Amino acid sequence: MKDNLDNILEIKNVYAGYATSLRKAEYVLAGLSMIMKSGEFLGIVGESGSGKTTLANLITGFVRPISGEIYFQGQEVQNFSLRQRIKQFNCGIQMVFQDPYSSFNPKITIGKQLMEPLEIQKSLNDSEIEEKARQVLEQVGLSADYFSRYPHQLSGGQLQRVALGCALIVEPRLLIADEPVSSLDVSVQAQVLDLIMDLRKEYDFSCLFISHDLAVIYHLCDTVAVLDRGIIVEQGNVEDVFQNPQNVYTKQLISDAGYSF
Amino acid sequence: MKFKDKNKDKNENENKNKDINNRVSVAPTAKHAYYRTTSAIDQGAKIQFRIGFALLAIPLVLFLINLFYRPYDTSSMNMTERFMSPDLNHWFGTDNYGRDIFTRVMSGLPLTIIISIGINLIGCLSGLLIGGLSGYFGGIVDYWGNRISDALLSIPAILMGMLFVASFGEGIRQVIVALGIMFIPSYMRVVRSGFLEYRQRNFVKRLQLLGASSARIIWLHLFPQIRTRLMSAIALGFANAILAESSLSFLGLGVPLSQITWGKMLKDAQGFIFQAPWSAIAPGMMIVTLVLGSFFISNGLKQLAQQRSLA
Repeated sequence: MKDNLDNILEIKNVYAGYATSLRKAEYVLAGLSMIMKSGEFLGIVGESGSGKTTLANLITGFVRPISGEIYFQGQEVQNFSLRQRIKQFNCGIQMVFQDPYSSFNPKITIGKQLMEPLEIQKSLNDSEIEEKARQVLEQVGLSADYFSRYPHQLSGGQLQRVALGCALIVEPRLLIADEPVSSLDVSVQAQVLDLIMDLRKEYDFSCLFISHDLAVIYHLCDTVAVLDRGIIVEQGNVEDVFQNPQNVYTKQLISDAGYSF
Repeated sequence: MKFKDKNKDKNENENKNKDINNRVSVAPTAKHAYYRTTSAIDQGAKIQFRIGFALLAIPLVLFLINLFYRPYDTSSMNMTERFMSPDLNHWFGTDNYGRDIFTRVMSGLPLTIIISIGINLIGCLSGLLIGGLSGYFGGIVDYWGNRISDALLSIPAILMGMLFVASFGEGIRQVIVALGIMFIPSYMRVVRSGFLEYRQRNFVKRLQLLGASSARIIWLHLFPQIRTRLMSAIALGFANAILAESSLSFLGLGVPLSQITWGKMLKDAQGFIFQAPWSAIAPGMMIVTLVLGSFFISNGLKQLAQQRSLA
């Protein structure tokens, strides 16, 4: 057990998918194995339909694996329900989604939505919660008058900043970012990525960063895993994988992207 | 002179143009466009509300008059004054027993409203419960919620009313319960579809990951999204309940003999509809006023809800 602790996440031979009939199942993840070290930023690349989002849902607990083992902080969690995982790890896994507009309740102010995670946890009193929420709002680079605004008054990039704040305010061990910058335009993308790097210095968390944009992953992550049809075909240091790809699919992906790393 | 005037006009125009040019220093933004569109929809909703409340005010004024001034007794008969056409003594005329229709219309209002509110209360609360659970939890809960609603939809409201009256006897309570049960599916559909739409949103997923309880998500985050839609459904249900009660009373299945509702007055009038049409017109018009008013308010609320979902 102890030697596993520097691995925040370990997935062993996981099958997950959807039952198409009583006897048949369509596997989205077919025997996926991977290891993620504590404090590491791991990028997941793969084309649409390769199982990136299913992998995210599997780790958070929205989807249960059909078979295989998942270890989170050295603890076996594949049989834990969503609620058990939250209780066990004290909101240790948080997520940022692709669509910033649907990540917020349109009828509640940004400030209240930032305060809500702490209200659910019930570890602080009201004034402390508000203080911390204002502090986080400042950390994600928004001025205090955004506190009382409604989500539709903010731009996509600003909302994504708040979404990062909402996820990090509970100090999770693992942040899953499911294409968080794909719906933003390029200059805003860079700002949000810079923000994630700044936040990395302030909060101690690991990040599973899902993207189909290789440049974004190269810019942000330490290691990268290439997902193809439900299995990880190559995993390693970002520089190693992008400059010297071993797998045929990875080579194809990198040459298609048109970047030279 | 003419020439001078023209010049003056020209100068004024130029000045105006300058003014406009000076004024347009701020480029129109998306924000401006957003406010313009919402105010246009707001205007439409406002008109609907005005017409709706104006129509609803008529029965309300009659009810208030009824509290302080009742020209005749509601049930005392006067055979010498049968089938009197509307005049200054009997504003809406008299019926086949010589009873004043104006008095009866006024005193029929409270019971009609109470029955309608009762029906909607039962329908709305049960619909909210079943629809909310179905929409939020989905799966097997949704399956059985839908089966309940299908089963209820397959029974005609009149038949349900007859069943209740036959089993439990005539009475206001039976009418309210029977029709209230029949009103569950319409509310359930509204709540369920709203919940289904919003529980797909990422903010629900985000809250689940933070450990928010289902009750918290439903009450604080999903219910506020459908509040306007639900209010629109209630206004519509209010109108439908009046119609349903009237048709049940019209068949003689509704409220007991000693009570007055507009549906029952219509039923009493049907035998003499050519002899004394006013005895049917007065209660009929009251039903139409109330139902139309409710429809207008419901429509206005629907427009508001649409605008909110666009914003």
